[in-house]
Amino acid sequence: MSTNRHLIEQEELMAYLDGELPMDRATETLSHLDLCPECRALAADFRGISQELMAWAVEPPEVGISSEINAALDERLQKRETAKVSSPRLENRVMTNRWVWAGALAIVCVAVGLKLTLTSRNRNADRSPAYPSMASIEQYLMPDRNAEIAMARSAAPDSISHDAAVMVLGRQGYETAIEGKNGFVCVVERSWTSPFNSAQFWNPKVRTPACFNPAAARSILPLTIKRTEMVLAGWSKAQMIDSIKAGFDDKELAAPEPGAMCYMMSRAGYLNDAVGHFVPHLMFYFPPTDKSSWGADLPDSPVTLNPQFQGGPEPITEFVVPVGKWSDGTVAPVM
Amino acid sequence: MGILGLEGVSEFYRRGKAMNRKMVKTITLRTLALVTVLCAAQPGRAADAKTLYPSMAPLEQYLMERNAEIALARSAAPDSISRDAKVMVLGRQGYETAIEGKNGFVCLVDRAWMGSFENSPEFWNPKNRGPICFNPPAARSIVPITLLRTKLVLAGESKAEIKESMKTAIEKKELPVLEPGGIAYMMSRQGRLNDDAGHWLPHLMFYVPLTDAMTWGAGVPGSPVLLNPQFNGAPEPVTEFIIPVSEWSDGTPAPPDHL
Repeated sequence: MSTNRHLIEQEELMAYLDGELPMDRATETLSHLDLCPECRALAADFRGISQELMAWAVEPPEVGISSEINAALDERLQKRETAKVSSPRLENRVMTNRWVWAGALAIVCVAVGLKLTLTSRNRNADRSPAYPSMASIEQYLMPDRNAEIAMARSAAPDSISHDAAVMVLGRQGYETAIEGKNGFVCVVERSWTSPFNSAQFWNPKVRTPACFNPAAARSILPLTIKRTEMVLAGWSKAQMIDSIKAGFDDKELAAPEPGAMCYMMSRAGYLNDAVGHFVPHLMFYFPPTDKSSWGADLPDSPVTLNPQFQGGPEPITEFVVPVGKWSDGTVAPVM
Repeated sequence: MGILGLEGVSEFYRRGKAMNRKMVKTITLRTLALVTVLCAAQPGRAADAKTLYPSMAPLEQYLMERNAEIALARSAAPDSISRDAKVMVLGRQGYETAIEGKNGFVCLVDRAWMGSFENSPEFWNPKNRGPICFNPPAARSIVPITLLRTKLVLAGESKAEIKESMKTAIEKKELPVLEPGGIAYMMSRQGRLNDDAGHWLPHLMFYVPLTDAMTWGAGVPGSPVLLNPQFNGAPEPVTEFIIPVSEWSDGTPAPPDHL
């Protein structure tokens, strides 16, 4: 692509993809992309690179190996300083000696091998979850009731949550803090609404503000309340799973009502250690449905399948659609 | 979204922030009020549209080159969905299958007569093209509405006659009941939804049995959910919600300020 043949520079195209171009220039770029297959291909390449970079995660170094390496480096530095004092020209001689370079390379290889071995060993140790069991109840409670009310309401725009019922977590379970007028119910969910096999299931830092529409308040919220009651009663995961299955068998728990959906547009929430407050989104609940029927998780599809209930005891399929703004009206990053 | 419904929705969306929440108590009233306000505020435009499109144009003006229509229909959804979808194109006898599908989705290009019967000055606008890909439940329960309306149009019925025929078909249960989970992709940037909105914003549409818009929080300030008045019980017993998304089907970003 060159400026002679195209209206946009490569750098501008990258800025456009990052949403950094002024609106008028972005509009021109959009129009040009519409007409230029070459630029569209380039844009697709750039997007692919960005996505790969975003997906690339650098594994943090092991604490143990870091200290070992640091100790070894310190020791070598001390020796080097000593050698400099005793023989200032020794360093130059050493640096030109290819045998020394080969030796250094061998040391590096051994160190890398050692690190990989230890990493592999430690990975097994890492598989033990960071949150193996329930923390003390105090860590899940929010001491300031008003703060929990505000956080719950932040799940949806004020025009919805202002008139919603609000429930807060107490020592006996969720309790109604504010009666609602519009059928919506807002709560701050805790980590135990995650899948039962989630490593975050007992993460006491999780705070997930959600505002359920009336249909979801009647058919999805009872699941949150039931799980919470069982957690606070000290039940094991296996007991909870059995009880939920029995609840559906006995019709104590019901399938999602048609049109059940939920707002999760809070930027104050903390969904888990991996995603923080994630992006603002809406969720839609159905009886078990193949995700392909919504085109979920396919390339460029805005719909994703939420694994919250997938494979769990609750017979529910949950789709997620990100939206452009947080509940306070500020623009959200594109997922 | 329905082509005419968009006129109201897009204007509503632009004005949403400024609307006084206390001004209307229900979305039904809100929608009616909106239309009234729009017509009152811009009488020239509504009158122009009525003048411009008072009745059906010659059929040729609604037809397209077949391959272009297939491509346009597919542009409604990401390629990962539309490439395996069934594609229907408009012919002189109605919509016909141009490409058989494999994934249960059906893509086609809506024409202007899929707009609302009640408030649609562009009901006969021959320039409108609404690319749309229906998921399997919507393909089974919404596409038949499109096919029937089109059949009535091509039979030469007037707008009022089409509305009456649709009402009769619903009463006689000649149309399928709306299935749960019906949605449609409208993410084409090549579409032309009406004279004002052009291709508007990429969005998804959700079809539910007739319900109050507030059950989804639709149309209130700050909500990403909009009510499309396309059907809304007049006469089709379907409520249609719209949620704009951040990218067009080709992966390019939509204007973020408008989402």
